[in-house]
Amino acid sequence: MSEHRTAPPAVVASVRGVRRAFGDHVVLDGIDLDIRRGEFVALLGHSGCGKSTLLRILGGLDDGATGEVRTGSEPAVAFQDPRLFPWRRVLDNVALGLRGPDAEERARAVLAEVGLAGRERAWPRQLSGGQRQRVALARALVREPDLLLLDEPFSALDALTRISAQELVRDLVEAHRPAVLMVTHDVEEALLLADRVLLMADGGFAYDETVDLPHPRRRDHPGIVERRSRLLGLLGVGAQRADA
Amino acid sequence: MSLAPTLDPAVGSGRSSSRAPREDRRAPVGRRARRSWLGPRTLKTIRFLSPVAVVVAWQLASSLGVLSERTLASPVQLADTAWALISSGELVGAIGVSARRAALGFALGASIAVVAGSIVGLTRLGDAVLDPIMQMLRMLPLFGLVPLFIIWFGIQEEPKIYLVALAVIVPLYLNLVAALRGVDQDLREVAYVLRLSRREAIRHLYAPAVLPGVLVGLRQSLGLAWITLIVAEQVNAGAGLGYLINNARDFYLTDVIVVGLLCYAALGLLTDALVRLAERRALQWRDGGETA
Repeated sequence: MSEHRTAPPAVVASVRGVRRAFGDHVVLDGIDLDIRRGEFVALLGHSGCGKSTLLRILGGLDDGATGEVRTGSEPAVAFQDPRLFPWRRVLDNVALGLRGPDAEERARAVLAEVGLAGRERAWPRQLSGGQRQRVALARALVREPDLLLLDEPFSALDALTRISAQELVRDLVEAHRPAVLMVTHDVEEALLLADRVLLMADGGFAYDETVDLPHPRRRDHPGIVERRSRLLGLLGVGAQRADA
Repeated sequence: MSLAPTLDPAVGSGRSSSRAPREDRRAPVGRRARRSWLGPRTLKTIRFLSPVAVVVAWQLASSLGVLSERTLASPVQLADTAWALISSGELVGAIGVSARRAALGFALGASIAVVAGSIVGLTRLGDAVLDPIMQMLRMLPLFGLVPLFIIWFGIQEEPKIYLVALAVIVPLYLNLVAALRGVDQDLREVAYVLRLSRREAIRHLYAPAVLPGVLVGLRQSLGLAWITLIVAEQVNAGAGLGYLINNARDFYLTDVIVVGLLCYAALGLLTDALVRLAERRALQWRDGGETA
């Protein structure tokens, strides 16, 4: 409620004192978080640390949390798996729930943007895993959300597809400027894409840092390398092992 | 049904290769099955010829007087009778009456099944209220209800139609409810995240998701509908296929009885084929090839 601070971009998502427990196990213990317009936030942490739970709370998919959560308009979500409706063609999947006379037009445009022009009439089953995930991104972005929630969107993709998908997300975010909250367990991915990296541990944030480096970023940039070692250390993984 | 033809050649060729060792010694390994005398094509021919042989044997038995006409009329006799019944218009009329009963009963039963199934599958309160009743209905011995139905509805069209309706309800209801309960939770979350209205969710998510299950239920229901109609039509029918058969029984006209039975079978096959056709058209998305 009380975000009358100095920073100019408006807050699009605000979390205050959010607590979530599964039985006796407390995964979120009084979380506070503001995400501002156009900000790309990566949320890191071990599996089971509550990072996906926080994302689901912001997306309105979790009823069991207490505390205050406010999101501006409707947040869009892209999940770990594409979750397309297999019985609807690609274009219809993107246009699902879109309203207005230009709905189809907009869906076509976004599909072209994710590199799938010409595949509008395909069934999801006919696409590769990477293509399906791009359809899911198109479906999220066509709504022009001011908050985009990405729940480990690349973890089901193979290494090569993942790199191109990461680049695509960066481009799309640059073009549409939504605020992004991306949950990931890949430290390097977080550092390559995000403006701000959060590390979640013991129900709270153990690390919160702005990554003020220009895009596109290189993996071997000293600013990336230095932060990576620090984050891996916090995650309890030896710095010499590159991938978390 | 569709599994048998695809399985059999494999079984046959496996057996044949062990039976023809002498020939195989010179043959390359891959052609082993083809070289033996029981190849897939031969098996296909046998598959076709086997029922023909039965009919021929039947005709022979009739012609030689082994099989009396009072027991079972000969195939030639059947063809004659069928033609006579068709040209007199008797058969078409009887089929019309029976098909009407089946159609009305099916429409009534299917409507009840879809409404009840949707309420139970989509709402928790509906589940608590309606499902126990439907489960009770399921346990009732269908044909044991015939005497009650006669008392309640008389001996005209109503008891026949209601009995068919009751037969249709159960398989369709059970399959619909199971399909609705099985709708992928992940996709429901997508419907929520995309803020689909209830109507949109039903149109784009629930209806297509339950369609395969509903079609399975539909085929079971239709099969049961015809069987039920046959039983129901034994009860004081004044028209229809059952009447034709009952009448023929009184005069030992086995040819008419068999023609009537064949009509039931043909009607059953026809409705089953219609559902399968609908299935193929509606489930295109499943056949649309693997990754491109």
